Amino acid sequence: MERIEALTNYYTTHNEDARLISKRGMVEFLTTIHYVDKYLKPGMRILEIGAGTGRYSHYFAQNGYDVDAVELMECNIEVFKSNTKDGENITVQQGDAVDLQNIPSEQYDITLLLGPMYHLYTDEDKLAAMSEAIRVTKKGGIVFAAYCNNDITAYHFGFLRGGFKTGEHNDLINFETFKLSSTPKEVFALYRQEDVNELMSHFKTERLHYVGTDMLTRFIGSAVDEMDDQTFQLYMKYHLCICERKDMVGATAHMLDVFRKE
Amino acid sequence: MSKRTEMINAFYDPHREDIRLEKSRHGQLEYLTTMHYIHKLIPKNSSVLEIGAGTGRYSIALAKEGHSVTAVELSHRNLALLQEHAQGIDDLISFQGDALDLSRLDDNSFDATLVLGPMYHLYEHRDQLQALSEAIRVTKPGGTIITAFLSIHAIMYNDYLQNNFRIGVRENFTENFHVRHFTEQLFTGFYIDEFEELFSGLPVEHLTTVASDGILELAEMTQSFSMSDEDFEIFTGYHLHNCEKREYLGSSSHLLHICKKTERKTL
Repeated sequence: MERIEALTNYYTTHNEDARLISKRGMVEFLTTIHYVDKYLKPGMRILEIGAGTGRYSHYFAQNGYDVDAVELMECNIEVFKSNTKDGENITVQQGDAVDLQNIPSEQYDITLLLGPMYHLYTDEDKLAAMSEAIRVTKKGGIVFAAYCNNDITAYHFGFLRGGFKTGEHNDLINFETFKLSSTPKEVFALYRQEDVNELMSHFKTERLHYVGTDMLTRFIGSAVDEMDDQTFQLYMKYHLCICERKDMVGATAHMLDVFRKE
Repeated sequence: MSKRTEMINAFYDPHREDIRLEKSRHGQLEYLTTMHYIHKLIPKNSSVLEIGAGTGRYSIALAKEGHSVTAVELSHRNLALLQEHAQGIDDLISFQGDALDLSRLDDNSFDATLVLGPMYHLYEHRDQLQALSEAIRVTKPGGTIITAFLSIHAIMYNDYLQNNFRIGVRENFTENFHVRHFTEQLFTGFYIDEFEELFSGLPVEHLTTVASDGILELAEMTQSFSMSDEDFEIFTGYHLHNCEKREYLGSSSHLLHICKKTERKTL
């Protein structure tokens, strides 16, 4: 299966655990946590689908929540397990977001889908993963789904990696729609806000937030990394003030769609 | 001379505004995007007023295209350059004047009015409204008014993020992140909806708001930035594909607010 092969190759050669540690990586993590925290109440059960090495799962488990995690990649599951600390009430099982056959319906108050939509390439798989995430969530429960942005990725390639026509990624861009190719070969599937809206039009949900989780941090990464802690705190305060504005939310590498199951 | 007039004269004298739009990629894109919308919305052989015409880059191009152009500019030095560049061009009238007081011009005189600079340098709410009211007053009913403004977030990203972020936040925002418009920064930026709201009581119909240069200015400040002519042409097409999408407006350095003066109601 082409998708699994591509992901295995990607995640065995990339240090996923370290990605979110730098200040620039923290912006996405802290923003996601900020929005989950708005809805978390003591005693709630959390499912993380596509938990990676467990950065989010362990964070919530360490804060006293019951967390179940599903991850596709064996290599990530090994790191996930070794990251488990005493006292965490947490499970992890191998599984694919498009078919959560081991998980009964309507079990979870909070469902995190923070990685799978990056790596599903066909409409059928995208719909299946979203449908499964909604199925396992309780009625009235909240789903957090993360996506990668087509345009900021394309600008990054075009501006900083040698150009649209001449750069290393020139074969990826459709020069009519300006959409980047999203196949297992590129690893990441890319969206515009209108694509997320289209996907979600197939489901009965109520959108609560649509957030740019890292905004333009990618373009100013070294400046953010070099901020002292006090300045970084102020940057986060500013970031959280703009990241949900309808006129700003396109300027982001990653998006978070937060919605309630009806 | 008011403090504002003095500051603008001081800034634009050495700055040579006429080369700004040519030398940087974001300046080129801003120009192309603005001309794209002018061509789309202003019919051939119109009477066009440009308020805050700078050194005349737009006014002269439009006069050459066959419009009959009136250019008003506050800075003496800019006006002198404009008049130098405009030698031999028919159908271009220019004079020194302030966007806040166009009393030399009659009501309902122009098919289209361009305000491509003054809103960068007006800091008081009443001055901002006054400039817009004047632009609308001299435009014919049904005429197009194109007003350029700056995004506060582009100012933050471009000018303060690399360093001095804390100073940028303190000076540009209140405690609740409302924008403070202040003279010392010279250029003042807006939230998109804040700027659109300025027009709410005025006799216009909003057509669209456009990102003129997107995040290109920010990208251009990055060390690894490069863009060939061929890529610039491709990116211009890409930019025009996205530039009216709401979610991309706030991150653009420069923007255009485009509206139409309300037609006179017949009794």
